[in-house]
Amino acid sequence: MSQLSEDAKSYLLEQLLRQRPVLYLRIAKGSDHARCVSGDPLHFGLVLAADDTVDVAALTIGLDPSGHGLQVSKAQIAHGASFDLHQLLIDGERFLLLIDVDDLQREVQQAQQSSNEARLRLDEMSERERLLHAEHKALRESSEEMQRHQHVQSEFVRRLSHEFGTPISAVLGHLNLMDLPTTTAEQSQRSLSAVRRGVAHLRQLVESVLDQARLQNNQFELYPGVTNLATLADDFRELHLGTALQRGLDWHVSLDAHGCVEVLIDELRLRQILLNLISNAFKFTEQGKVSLSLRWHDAVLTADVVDSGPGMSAAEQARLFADYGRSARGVRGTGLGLSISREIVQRMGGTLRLADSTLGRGSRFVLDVPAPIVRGQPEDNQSLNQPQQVLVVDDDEDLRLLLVAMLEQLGCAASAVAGLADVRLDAEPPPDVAVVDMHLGRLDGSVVLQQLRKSWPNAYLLALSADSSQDVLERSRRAGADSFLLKPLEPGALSLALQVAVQRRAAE
Amino acid sequence: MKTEVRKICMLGDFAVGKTSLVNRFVNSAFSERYLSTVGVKIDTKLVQLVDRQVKLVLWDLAGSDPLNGAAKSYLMGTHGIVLVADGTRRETLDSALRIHQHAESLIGARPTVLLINKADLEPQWQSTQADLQSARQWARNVWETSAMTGAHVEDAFMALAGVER
Ligand SMILES: Nc1nc2c(ncn2[C@@H]2O[C@H](COP(=O)(O)OP(=O)(O)OP(=O)(O)O)[C@@H](O)[C@H]2O)c(=O)[nH]1
Ligand SMILES: [Mg+2]
Repeated sequence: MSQLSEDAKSYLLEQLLRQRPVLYLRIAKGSDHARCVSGDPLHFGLVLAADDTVDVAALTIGLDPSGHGLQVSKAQIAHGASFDLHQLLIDGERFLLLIDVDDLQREVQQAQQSSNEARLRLDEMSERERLLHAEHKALRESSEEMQRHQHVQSEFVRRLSHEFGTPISAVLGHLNLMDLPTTTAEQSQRSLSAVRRGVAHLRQLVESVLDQARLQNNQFELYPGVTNLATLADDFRELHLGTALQRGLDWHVSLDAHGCVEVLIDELRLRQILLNLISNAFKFTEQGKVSLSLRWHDAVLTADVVDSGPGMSAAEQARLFADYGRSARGVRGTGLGLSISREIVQRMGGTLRLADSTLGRGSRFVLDVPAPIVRGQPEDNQSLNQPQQVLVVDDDEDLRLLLVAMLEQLGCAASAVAGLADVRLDAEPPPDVAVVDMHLGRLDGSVVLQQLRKSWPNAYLLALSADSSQDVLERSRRAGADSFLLKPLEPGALSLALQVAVQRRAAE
Repeated sequence: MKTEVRKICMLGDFAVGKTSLVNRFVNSAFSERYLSTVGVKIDTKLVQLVDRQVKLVLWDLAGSDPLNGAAKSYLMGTHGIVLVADGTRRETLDSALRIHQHAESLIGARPTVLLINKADLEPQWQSTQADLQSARQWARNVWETSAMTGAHVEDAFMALAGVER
């Protein structure tokens, strides 16, 4: 370059400037502003102020004041042209030189743009592939599930035709018998009762099939209602007395209700399940005894059905509750009944199990279902054996007053609030028992129950409602309630519920 | 009173929305079109804090190759870092972390906010709660933003504008 004459230099400069606009600025000492020496600030997105200066704070903020030469390459301000930023130090003054690199920039941008877009598409494709893969897997699984289902279905139909076949052929056979001219009146009479039994059995089978379908289609509903325990026990005693006499079997029904008189439960379903268990016990038992023991304790109803029948082998026990499983012994099928019973009991929030069975000795089935007390007769009729702190949460003032009065009568230290906001969750010690209305104006009682359960893990929580639908019962249970009280509240029921709470506490 | 000037750098993988976030914050605008940034784009915005005014100078760096030789000259004098990841692309969270570590090795620790962007596409997010939780351990502040709707964009920038070193 040093060989170039001054003329050549200035010519070259002129050419370069024509191709590449530049901006040359002198920075005012100790300020963010610069004075324009040459070039157009606007071309680079910089604004010329009224006093002919340019605010360059955005550019100089990171610069080393003593740096000479290229400082930042490929920069751009708003909609201005791209530039390389140089700093020149001349005679103790700072200059900024912005050189337009827009043309170079554009090429780089295009290359980079397509490369980035390609990478994005690639990412998207691999993500899609992942999703497709997952979808494929789900499809395969559901098709396998369907095949399994189909197999179960055809097995079901096979069993059904067998189950129905036996009573139907019995009914038809006896009807034919009755038609014969040689049949005596006595024989006819016997055939007639056989037909009745057969039809009753068929009806039961039809009911089972319908229940099965309802359970599978989620159309199954429970209707909890007030149920008298003593009546229930008496009815069963009566119902099987005849069979027991006829078969020469001992039949025994007992009830141990701990003062509970009425409970809230779907009575029809409970009867259906017990009937199924007891009929099976009678069916299999040739000699000895069959018994039903009912027990109410701690808001749970327990039923033991015991027989001295042939018992079951381990293999039979394993198949017992399997879907449409059936006892292998060629006695009338019970498979349908048991698997359905167990499912219904589960819907009720309880369990049904074979507690034990020994070959040659007999079997014991145990049913446990939640059964909130509705009416009770406290056994010692005294106030509770321990003073209890009871909190009532109810939005109705009259009911609050009533509940507090009832609780105080029972010897409790009771207090009442209208909603969750008024509950002192940090109370020390926390209450022993909380009674929570399920319908607190706009607030759902289960929200309160959940909160109380979280804050007071050891408190006995009672849900309270005039609505005894399965939905409310289930919601209260899920929210952590230990039991449920039906409005209007019966003093005996309240007293017994509190006794349960005391027993719980003592057991802890 | 003299207005304080603060330089903020936008860092993060390509196409995560750095330019879009600046555009939303400075111009209250958004474009669907992707125009990849080359080098650095510089924008300014005056913001009013409780007790003073601050001029934010936003350096929006290209995400494609943020670790190249130019990075250090871009980062000089930075007051704070806006680190951006794209919620719909899980790997951008990892690159955000990598870029951040690299920047710290060049200029030392700076106040940082992490933006998980494209919150409007939340159903398609690949980042999990666990990812966000671990991200919270290395960024002072984590925001779920959307340059499209503007959600939390202002909050994120203002959080950084007010922070002292
Ligand atoms: N839906 C949605 N799209 C967004 C959002 N932010 C950015 N985008 C889109 O994402 C693409 C990339 O945005 P940019 O802001 O250019 O990304 P960048 O981080 O600056 O990318 P580089 O400059 O290449 O580093 C564009 O198509 C934007 O429209 C958002 O919050 N929501
Ligand atoms: Mg960009």
